[in-house]
Amino acid sequence: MNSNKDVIFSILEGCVKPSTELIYCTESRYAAYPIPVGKSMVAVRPLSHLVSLPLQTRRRIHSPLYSDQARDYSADTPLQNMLKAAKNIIKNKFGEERSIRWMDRKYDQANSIVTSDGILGLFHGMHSLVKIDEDSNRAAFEIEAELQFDFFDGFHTIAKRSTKFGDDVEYLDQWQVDSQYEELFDRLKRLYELPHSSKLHTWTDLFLWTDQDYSTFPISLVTKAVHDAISSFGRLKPNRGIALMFITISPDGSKGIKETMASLEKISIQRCQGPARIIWAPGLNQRQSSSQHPISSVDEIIDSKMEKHALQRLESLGFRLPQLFSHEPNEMLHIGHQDATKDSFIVISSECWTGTWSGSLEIEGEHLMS
Amino acid sequence: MEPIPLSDPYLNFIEPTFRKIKSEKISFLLYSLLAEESSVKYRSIATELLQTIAPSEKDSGRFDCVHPEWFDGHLELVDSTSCNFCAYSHYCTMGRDARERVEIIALENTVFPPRNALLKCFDFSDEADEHVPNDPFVGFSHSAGKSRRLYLIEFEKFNDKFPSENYFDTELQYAVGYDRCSSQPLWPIDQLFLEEYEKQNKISLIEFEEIPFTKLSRMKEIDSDLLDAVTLKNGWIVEEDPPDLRDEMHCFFQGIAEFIQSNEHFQGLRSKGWASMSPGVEHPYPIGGSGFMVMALRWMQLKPDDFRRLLVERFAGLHSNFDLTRISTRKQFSSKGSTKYLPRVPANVLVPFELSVNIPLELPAARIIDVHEYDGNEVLLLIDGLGLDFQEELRNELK
Repeated sequence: MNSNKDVIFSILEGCVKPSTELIYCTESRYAAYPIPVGKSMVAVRPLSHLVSLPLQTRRRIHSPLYSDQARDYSADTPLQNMLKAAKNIIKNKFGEERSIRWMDRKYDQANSIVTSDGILGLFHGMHSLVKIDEDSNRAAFEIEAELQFDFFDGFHTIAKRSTKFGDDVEYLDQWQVDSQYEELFDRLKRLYELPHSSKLHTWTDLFLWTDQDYSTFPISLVTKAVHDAISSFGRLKPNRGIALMFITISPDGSKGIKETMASLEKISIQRCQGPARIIWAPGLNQRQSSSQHPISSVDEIIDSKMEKHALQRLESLGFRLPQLFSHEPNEMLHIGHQDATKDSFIVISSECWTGTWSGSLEIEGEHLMS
Repeated sequence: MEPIPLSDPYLNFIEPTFRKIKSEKISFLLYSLLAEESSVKYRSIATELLQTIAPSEKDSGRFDCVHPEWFDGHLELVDSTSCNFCAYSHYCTMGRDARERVEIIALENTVFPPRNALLKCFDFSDEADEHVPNDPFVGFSHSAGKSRRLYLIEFEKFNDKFPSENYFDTELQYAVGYDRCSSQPLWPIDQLFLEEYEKQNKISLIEFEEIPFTKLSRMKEIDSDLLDAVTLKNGWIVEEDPPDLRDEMHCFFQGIAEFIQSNEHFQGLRSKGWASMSPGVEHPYPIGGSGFMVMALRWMQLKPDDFRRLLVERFAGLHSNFDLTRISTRKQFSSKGSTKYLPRVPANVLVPFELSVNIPLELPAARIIDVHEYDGNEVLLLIDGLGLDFQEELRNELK
């Protein structure tokens, strides 16, 4: 496995930013390594781990919310503690029932924001729970600011501060907090100071599957496929999953070539979503065939023997093709030269469902409606 | 089945020591505790008692009290003898397993698999961050990490209880709920619409006479394409229908969309109606349309009784004969003690090592977030009810 790791890492290093850290996970599906400040991560995993991708991703995103939680002390997270402090204030004004309802709804919203934008999303952006209202007094070179919190009946000021132009002040520093909001402010600050609050990093899970050892595939094909997958799918998403599968077409019964996928791997394929990408790599046998015109473009794949054999091979491996190709795939051709082999290959890549989204009007709707 | 703890053992067991104590003062303090009514004085006596019983430097088995904040002033080290006489020993967490646990309830006569199989769902031992609970629903359930009930049910039985009818082939990842009346998954736009709709469900349908079913302005092409796709897919219109029936159906839905847009009861939907919506994300349709047209279609699809009644009004007197049987029959739902609209609950699935069929990971009423293999024959779902009592929910069968 180490050699596979070396091959994949050397290829990945050529196509990700230098600030990206690579990890190779073969055992635990859930390993959530802390992301070093300013770094992005690419985790290389076997395809079978893909079945757990939604849970993996959300555990990782939500884990900072549990980070200052003593195991034998309280099950409340810093987010819940902050909302409880706000709930108590609302309870005094509007009664217990409304305050509980507010807290439930706010907790849903807050979790959604954390899922899509990280903890900082609670403090910045259009859905934030707090905002700073600034008024600059140019004559006095001062900025008067009010820190406002989104309570039951809208935003209310909970603290004020006055700073000079050019002062380098942290978001929640130097506030004069109204005494009734002290606990709320304290809880907000603890939430803000949690580690991993930054959303500047990205996390990529790359799920790999091959029907034989990587060394038998042309290195130019593996390099092309990895580069193409990394640069094609969800580049701007903070969390993304990519499945990359290398398949030998018409294996000649050589030892070591898998005849079918494992049960979990077959199920994993369902996590693939959106249009897949296919790289066709005709081997020397295919290209030098006297029985038919050698393949030199993607168009020539259609209705070719290679396509027929590839589909047979995918079906015998256990791929459910209508599901995998429910969207029209993007196809490419790879003609190797220096490292061409007799065998033909097909590489399929696809973006995977991570259990997160931010494109919906209702970001997350997993709460009771009636 | 024994409840399953959500964290690894983290216990401070007391090493028992047997130290002789004999003091009249101790007897006096113990009597005083029994008689004391003031909590402040009780605390003072408790402190004095603990100091009196404190072990000496030469005694073995001494340790720091785990709750020094319960006493006044500085505490010396204690030992098990001190703890036995402690005035707060009943509340002390020392040596007590106070971990949060989940209880698993089997639904519909589902047979429990071996405990070890279920424990796989709670095995996060390689997790780097030890503070994250060993809860298979972290990030999906608001109660993750807390003691609660989870539910176990055979995959097939769950599908029988929450079937699906008449929805597009859209991937279900973005569906957020499930409507038990129409047996359909619900999407974010449905949630917005139903929240407004249910507020006024007591209003007589007479008000719907305001719906402008007259020929309106020219329909947008995008809405027209959407209408054709949905009405055909749902079987409301078939290829053989005369063109005027299609036109009347267009006019009908244009009227419904206009009604949602202008009626004061649906005022809350206006901002969303003008917003752009992603097909397959906000709604199940594979192509886009204006927000109001999407809502009009979803309304009729989710509320077939309204659809039928309004169609009768619409087509009365017209030459087209619309076949009302094309609209699916609404199930009678006993809402007493049960929930009409369910959230799409997160589930873990246990599959046999030799799984002969490919099970879907996205179900109309549940999203499968993790899969584990086990040595058994049945495919089993472990569900977090997101606050719902599924025992109660299933007791209220659809009639």
